[in-house]
Amino acid sequence: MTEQPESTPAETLESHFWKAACAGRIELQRCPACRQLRYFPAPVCPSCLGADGVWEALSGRGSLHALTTIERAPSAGYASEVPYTVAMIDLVEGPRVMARLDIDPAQRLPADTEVIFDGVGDSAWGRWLRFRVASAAMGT
Amino acid sequence: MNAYISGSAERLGKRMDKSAFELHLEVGAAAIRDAGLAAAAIDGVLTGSPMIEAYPSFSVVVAEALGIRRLRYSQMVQVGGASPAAMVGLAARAIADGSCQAVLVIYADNRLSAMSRDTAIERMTDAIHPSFERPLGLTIAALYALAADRHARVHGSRPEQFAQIAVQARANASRTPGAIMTKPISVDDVLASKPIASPLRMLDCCLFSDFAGAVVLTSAALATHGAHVPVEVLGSGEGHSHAHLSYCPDLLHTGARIAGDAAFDRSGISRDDVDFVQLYDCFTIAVALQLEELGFCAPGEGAAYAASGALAPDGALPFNTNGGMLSFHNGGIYHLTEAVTQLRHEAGPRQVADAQIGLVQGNGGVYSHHATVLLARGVVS
Repeated sequence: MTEQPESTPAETLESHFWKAACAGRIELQRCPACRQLRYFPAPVCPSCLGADGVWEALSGRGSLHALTTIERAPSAGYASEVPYTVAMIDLVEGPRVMARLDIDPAQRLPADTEVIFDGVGDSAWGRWLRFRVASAAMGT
Repeated sequence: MNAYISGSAERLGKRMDKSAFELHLEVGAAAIRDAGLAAAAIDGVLTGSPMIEAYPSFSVVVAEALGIRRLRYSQMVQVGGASPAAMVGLAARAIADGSCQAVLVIYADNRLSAMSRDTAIERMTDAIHPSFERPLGLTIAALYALAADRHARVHGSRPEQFAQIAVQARANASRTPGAIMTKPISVDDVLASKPIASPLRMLDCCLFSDFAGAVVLTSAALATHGAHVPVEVLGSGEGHSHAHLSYCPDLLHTGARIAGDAAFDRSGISRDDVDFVQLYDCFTIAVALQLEELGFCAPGEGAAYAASGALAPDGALPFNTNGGMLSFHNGGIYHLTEAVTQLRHEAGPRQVADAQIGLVQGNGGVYSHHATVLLARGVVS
């Protein structure tokens, strides 16, 4: 059997997002027409219907909007991970993202607690963003 | 409007051990008989989409098996738990504008018989975004829990207030023949039940069961062939603000307000005219948000309003008179059939005294889809 040359899969919007996230950066597309950042990565701007988007690296900083600590896993593949906390995080640049928040579930965090992007995790159904409480907010 | 629910049928049982197709035929036929009609009179059929027995053109497959040969209108409606109320709205408009004379609406699934509860919980995560949400390990309960957490942060609502919703639902179920969960519970029972996704506990979550129900909507001309008082559709509305929670503009404001405002505007009645509500109680937080979004209390006060006793049978706004999804059966179709039973004044010991107008609210996805129907005990002149 002859060796086939390996083909490189084309980069998709999703693969770009995750490649950047795995390299430690949250990158989202900014619409050059209306200047809005969009989340999820998407081929059309939901603010103005513009078809362009320019990737932009964000600060990775945000604030806590809401959280839940999950005790009942959605499937057997997650049963060994409980309890874990999922949060909605308002990025300082605007968009709200969903991520795991690396905290002790007993910890009570006030709304607007400062959080910071802290890498990518991987579970049975795929990759996810991890945030942690920003050091300036610790101990409050 | 010139559209009446003149036939209604429900089948009860936690596990019905029938296929979804069989359940559709059984309750569909029963609802047509209840309306005093023959299958030949039916010219519209709407159904949902069974989770396991997904089948192309399912609504027409059901119609042909019921001997309905001259359909003018048939669709599968796929807005999750909002489907029953949305289908009533669609059917009523098809009748009021003269497109149809009699529309059969069926919502049934063998969701527990065909799957274990674990499998059902896993399957329902299909509504969560596959790349940016689902891998986090979310359940539907966890996504509603985010709204409950936000509600507590913004409005100071407390778990014991939400718990009161589950307690009242259980008390109502204890008076309803065929209810699945009938043993009375206390607020402490809710707060001590198994944690699911904070702040939600097991008893904040609806039960799992099979479900099957159907209604027949007709014009006034066909509304009095059955043995029951017809129920008029006063108005309806839908509202959809997002499919995935990440796109939800505000966790505490949903399409329920759009749906409710449209239904009240079209009906020409006010909130004070409503004698009872059947709210989509997949989780206690959903009930609190619907009370706010439908305008029965101020924004932020849904949990406090529920805890005030207003939702009791003798309160200002009796809710989920059969026990709802929290204690009676899953599915959302029983909110509709129960409203019809109440407006027919056939609810026995749980009858809301002199009920004239009722509201049915559907909610699907991750508070993505909302549909409101306002119904009145009919007077056909």
